[in-house]
Amino acid sequence: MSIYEKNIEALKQYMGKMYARIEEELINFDNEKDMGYQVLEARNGSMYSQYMSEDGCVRLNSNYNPEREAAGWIKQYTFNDFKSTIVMFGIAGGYFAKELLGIINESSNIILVEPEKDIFFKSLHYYDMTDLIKSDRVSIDIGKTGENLLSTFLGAYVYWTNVFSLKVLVHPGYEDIFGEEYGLFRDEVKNYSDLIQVERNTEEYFGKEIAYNTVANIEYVPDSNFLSDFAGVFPEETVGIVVAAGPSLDNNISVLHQMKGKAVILATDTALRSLHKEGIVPDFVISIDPRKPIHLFENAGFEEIPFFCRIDSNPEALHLHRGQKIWASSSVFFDQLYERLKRPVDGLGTGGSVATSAFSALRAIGLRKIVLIGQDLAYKGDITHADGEVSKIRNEEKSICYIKGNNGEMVKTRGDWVMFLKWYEKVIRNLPEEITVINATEGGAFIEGTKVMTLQDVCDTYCKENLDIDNIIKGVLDNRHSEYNSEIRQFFEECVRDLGNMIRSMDKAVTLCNRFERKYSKSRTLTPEVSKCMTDISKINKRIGNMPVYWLIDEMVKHEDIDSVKNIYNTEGDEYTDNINMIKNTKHIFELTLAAAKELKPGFEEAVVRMNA
Amino acid sequence: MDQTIVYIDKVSELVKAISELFYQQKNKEALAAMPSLLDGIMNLTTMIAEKEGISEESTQELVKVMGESLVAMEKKDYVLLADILQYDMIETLDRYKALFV
Repeated sequence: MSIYEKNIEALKQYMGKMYARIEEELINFDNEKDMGYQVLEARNGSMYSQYMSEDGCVRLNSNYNPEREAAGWIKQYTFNDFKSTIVMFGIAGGYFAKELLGIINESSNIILVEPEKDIFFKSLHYYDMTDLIKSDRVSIDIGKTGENLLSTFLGAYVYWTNVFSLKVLVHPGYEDIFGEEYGLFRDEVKNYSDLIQVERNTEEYFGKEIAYNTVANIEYVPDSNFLSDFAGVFPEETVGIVVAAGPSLDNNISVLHQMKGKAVILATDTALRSLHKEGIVPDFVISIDPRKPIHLFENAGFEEIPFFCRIDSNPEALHLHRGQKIWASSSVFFDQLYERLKRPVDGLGTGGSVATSAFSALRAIGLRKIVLIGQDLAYKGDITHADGEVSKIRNEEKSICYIKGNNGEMVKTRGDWVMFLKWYEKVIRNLPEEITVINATEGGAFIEGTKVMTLQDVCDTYCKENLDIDNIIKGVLDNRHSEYNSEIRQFFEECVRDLGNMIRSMDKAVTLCNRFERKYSKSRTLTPEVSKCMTDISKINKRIGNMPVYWLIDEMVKHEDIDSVKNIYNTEGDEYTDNINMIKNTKHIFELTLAAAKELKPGFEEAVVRMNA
Repeated sequence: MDQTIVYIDKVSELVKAISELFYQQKNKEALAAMPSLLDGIMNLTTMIAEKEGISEESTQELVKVMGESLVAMEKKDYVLLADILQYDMIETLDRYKALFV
């Protein structure tokens, strides 16, 4: 079998989805064609790569001994931390990637990004890449940077607990050849890392609240709808409007009267009162923040509007609401229910704000023209929101900056808005061609990739026909999924039982940790007795980890002690010290888990009673 | 031990260290060490030339390899430079060492 055939067989078996995506291009790839990327024979008989461009030759490997070069290169790196992720820009022949794979530990992962598909295709002919392809610790993204996969892989391997050990490397020579792409790649990784940090801060901030809100909202789950119920129900040409609450909303909100019934109007919670004041009833409202102030929902005509919410949204809002709740899943805990119901998860890409979540929701239901209004992401003077409202954030002054506005001027903005703006730009960059995003804010910051129009022009161009949106929505809401009710009730009743089991197991786990510490401190080696403690602890961990309700408890534990959770993966390099530190951190987390389970159980039992009433 | 052999060993160590730095893309550090290497090579060339029985042609080998290194350095082809140092330079130094044993 040739090198190429071996590589293809490996791709089919181990990276089937990727292979399916590139198969046609791969088959049609002309290996003999003249391209910048060249593969030649080195002095030691191995193959090496170089890239010829107008500016000359960029060496990608040693033409004497590429293996020795890679072995020398890797010596500068050590990756001791558990569950670390290394992202490398450039693969070429895979010499450096293979050295990387050789030094990372079993729990860590590598994401390889090859910006130019043809380089990968050509390399498959000359280099045996099967070690990389077969490894379950290697993910490969090929093609122009920004094609989603990098984000997907980062999302799979990088959380706030291990983002500190995320490392970014570049294949020698690639920065010279693909300077622009490398810049975009670095930005994407940095943006993801920043977003994770925001999520970590959010979870630290909201941790317990997320758990308590979830329990409080359980009673609303039966006889409700799911976001995906609305996928594909609206006519193809339907426009979706995200009504955010930026200061420019005051200027064009009245145009929405002309668009009622002709477009899907999705209001963010912060825009509800402005809409109510104007006499406009949106088709949907969305709220995701666990602590969104209840006054936003009161006296705002909110009660009967179909409500996109999360299981951990503010329970006061869900209690006030009398209409149909539509779940857009957010948490690992609630995803377990989706799995039980055999429903695909409604994973909403939140982007960090209610408006970005609204955008994601309209995308999720299949709308191809999405219009943003009130999405200033900038100040209007000192005003931050519609109706002249001013809402400050912590350390706001430190993050003030100026960026390009929709009207060509420079506008004043702040750190969190810039982050949301970058999120939009990244998402829009990766949208299929048939999706159009129109920024009809008529003010505020310019979002790259959007078409800037006035709302009146949007109305006149795209919203001429009455599409009877109300009736379409009513038709979906009439199916409240009563068929799921029995399974839903069973799921939550099992959660209560699991909490009881968790309490007993965590008690035992703490005892085992104490025993481990006592015995290991004396023996200093992993004797059979000490090892048995580890095995029993692992068994308990695994059993608890499989309980859906574990994920709720996890939120509470992270809130209590984020550092212990994070430090589980840190290493000092000395086995005894690492083991002792690990067991101390683990025991602390078990104690927190025990306390959290005891705290949550009574409320959960009451919630299930309310649900069944 | 002949002092020349000791000197050759030191120069070899420096060559390997510099080539390792280039392989690791630590070009600034490696370039900063190159003048020391150049001095070392020049001194070594003199020591070799003074040894009885060694042809002028032999002494030029080292100068030739150093010249190739400088060309690679000028072109900023640091991987090639590392290779020339790691393989051609070390090979030449090993051959000289054999003459002094």
